[in-house]
Amino acid sequence: MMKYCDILVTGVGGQGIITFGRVLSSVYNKRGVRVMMAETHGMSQRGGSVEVHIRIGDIHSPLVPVGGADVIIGLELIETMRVLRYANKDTIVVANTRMIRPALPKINMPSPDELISKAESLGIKILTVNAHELALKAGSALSVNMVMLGGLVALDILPGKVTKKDFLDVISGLRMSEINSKAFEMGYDAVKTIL
Amino acid sequence: MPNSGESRSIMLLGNEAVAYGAVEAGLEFAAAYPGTPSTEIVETLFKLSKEYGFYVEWSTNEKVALEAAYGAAIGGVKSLVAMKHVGVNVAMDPLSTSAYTGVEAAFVVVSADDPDMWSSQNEQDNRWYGVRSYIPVLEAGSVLELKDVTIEAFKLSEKFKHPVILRTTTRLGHSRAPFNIGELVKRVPRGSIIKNPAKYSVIPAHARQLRRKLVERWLEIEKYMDTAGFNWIEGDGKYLIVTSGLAYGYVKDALSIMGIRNYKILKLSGMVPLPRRLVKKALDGVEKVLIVEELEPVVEVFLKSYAYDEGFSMEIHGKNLVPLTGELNLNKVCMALSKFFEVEYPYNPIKVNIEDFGLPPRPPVLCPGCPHRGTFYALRKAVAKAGVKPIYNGDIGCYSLGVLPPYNMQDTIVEMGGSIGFANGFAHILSDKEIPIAIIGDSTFFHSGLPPLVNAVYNLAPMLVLVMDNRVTAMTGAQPHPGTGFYQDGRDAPVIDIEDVARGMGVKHVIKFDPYNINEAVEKLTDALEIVKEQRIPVVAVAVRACSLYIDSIARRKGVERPLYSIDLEKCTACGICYNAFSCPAIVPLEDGKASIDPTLCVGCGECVYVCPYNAIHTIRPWTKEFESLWW
Repeated sequence: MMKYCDILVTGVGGQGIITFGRVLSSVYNKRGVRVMMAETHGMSQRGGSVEVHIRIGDIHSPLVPVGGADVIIGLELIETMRVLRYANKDTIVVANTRMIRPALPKINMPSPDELISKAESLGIKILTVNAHELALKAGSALSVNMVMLGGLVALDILPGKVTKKDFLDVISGLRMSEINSKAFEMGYDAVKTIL
Repeated sequence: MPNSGESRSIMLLGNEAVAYGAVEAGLEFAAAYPGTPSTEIVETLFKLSKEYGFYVEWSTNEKVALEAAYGAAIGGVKSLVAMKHVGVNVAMDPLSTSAYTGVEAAFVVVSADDPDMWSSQNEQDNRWYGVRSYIPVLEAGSVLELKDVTIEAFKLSEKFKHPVILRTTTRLGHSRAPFNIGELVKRVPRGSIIKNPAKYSVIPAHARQLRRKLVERWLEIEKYMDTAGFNWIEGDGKYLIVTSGLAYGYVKDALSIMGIRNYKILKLSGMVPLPRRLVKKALDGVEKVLIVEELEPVVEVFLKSYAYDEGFSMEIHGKNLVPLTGELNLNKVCMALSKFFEVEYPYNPIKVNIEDFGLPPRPPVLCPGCPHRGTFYALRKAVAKAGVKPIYNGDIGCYSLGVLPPYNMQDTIVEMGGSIGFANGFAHILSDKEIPIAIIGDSTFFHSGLPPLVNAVYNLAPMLVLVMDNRVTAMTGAQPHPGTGFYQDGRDAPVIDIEDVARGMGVKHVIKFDPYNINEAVEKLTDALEIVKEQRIPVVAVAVRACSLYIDSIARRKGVERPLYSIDLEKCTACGICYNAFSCPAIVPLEDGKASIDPTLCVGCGECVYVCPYNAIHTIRPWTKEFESLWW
């Protein structure tokens, strides 16, 4: 088992990023493994950028260091790019290919393919998932967070031998648990096939 | 999400842990004004109060909250007051003298500081307030200690019958970590009348006596800090690292990541007053010292002075290696340690020049359906119609976001109540066509808008005071306030009506409008501005419409279907007014520039109907009586 694992989750306020973090931390807390999670609060409800830091293991502080993320999970592509400073050459980035337009007048949206190839050209390992489409297939656009959580678990790099079942147990306690479980499974399978 | 019974610990938000700690410590009275990052402390206390009997309230501002808790503590009841760091500025008058009088039971003041200004106007370090007011300051060494340190704050306060500042930060209060909850006991507050004017009526003759006793008590408190369980020395070595509050967690992690072994740590969770004897013990035999603290050099200033007094002459590093601005993180602490120990910095990020990516910014914006959007839109039109040149004196709340494009309608924002306050200055220095427009929220109006409004009436200050009344303290998560009509737990509360308040203060023209009816809003605001221009007096306009995010949450909870609007693409001319000038996040441009409404974001407010010049927006699921009944 790794000594600790640093995970950064990013996206847009309203995408369920905090729920993502709470499910993950609940799985570890149930096993008696120390986990800390830091959230941006206050203005995050208002459609701004949101970062959630999750650190698992024998740690005393909650923030993932710049250049120190083991995994970056991006629920929205622009926000994923915005946090690439947390990556090092071994970091795995799992990104939803979907972009959400910021509610600002007269902005130019970048192209997803260009963003991804720019990141790759810097030597960043990036796996992409169309989580929005999978979430709709599972039954709700709101379950993008669970698709991406499934994707994280599929990487098989989480410490402490946690299983898919550990996650599904916690997800079963959420609202819309059937859709969320399905979304989790679909995200898991999607990442397994591209690994 | 509740954890199952088999687990030993539960995951709590730091602020929740503070609340549990307070109840474990025997809390009987709590008061607060909401403010990020403190709000969840008292929200959690509201939830716990039903079962555990203590009294809890949202007060009108931090000074009132502090006085209520201070009064209760003088009456012999264990009390807590919580506020954000700048709220302590508001409460500073009574707090400054509270150490002189002391109290009869524990009195804990939670100051939730915001290093890095995640949601604040400054990053003041409130440990200084403890220094200048003779109030001890405790801060957890990491979020893991937050509950225990809260209990220690109550113990210390109870022992010395003296106020204690429990300092938290955004990173402590808004992190989640595992906690074990101890036994919670039901306590219904029962205080008593206190007749001790020599202690509690601070006339000069009494105050001089109290000040002498305070200085003596301060030395006793310093001794307590020397041996208290939350301060300690660990490890051994020639190099000493001194940590203040949450710096301890970062230092522990950084040392472990960097594989540094020969070091000594002086861990301080009680740093004001700095424990002199413990510091001396830690400095003995040390060659070099690094003080790691967030923001200001509070420990550094005192430690260097003590070291000089004691004749130490080793190198002492602090703010030369640890940045003075922003919150701490592992990068900053590792960098300081790498210089101090002369070892390699452990992180090697991929070099990303983020400008190359051409990413659009994503600031927080007004929510879909936000009534403030309609008010800003109408106000801009009214200003043009009335032919006035405005300065927009803004204030603290969701409407602060009006500073951003496309509105650009907050020319000054400094502090709670500053809108009307600043307008009192501009009113007397501008030409007749230039008018200050003070924009203030409902909760902020009650918090600190009343005295400056009285001033404007008395001193005949021409201004438009626009109260954006969304019925709740929306910015911090929809807490009720004196105008709301209900308490946090849903019980009915008396309503203090903003229009009545303004009239009672002598405002001659008070108007009210619904920002969802933009045409009416433009008309009424134009009239209001014309009165200000012609009669040179203050006019109050109240825009009344509840927070859409709050209504949406009730609608979801009650299963009430929201109305929905849609764009008629035949009529849409791709003019962009709805998504550029009005800028609702639920309206997005299609590839041809025509507008489209995202049904997952639209809350059905219908404001955009008034905005579209081509009548291209129509309802596909109209307002029902049930939905209408959610608003008040």
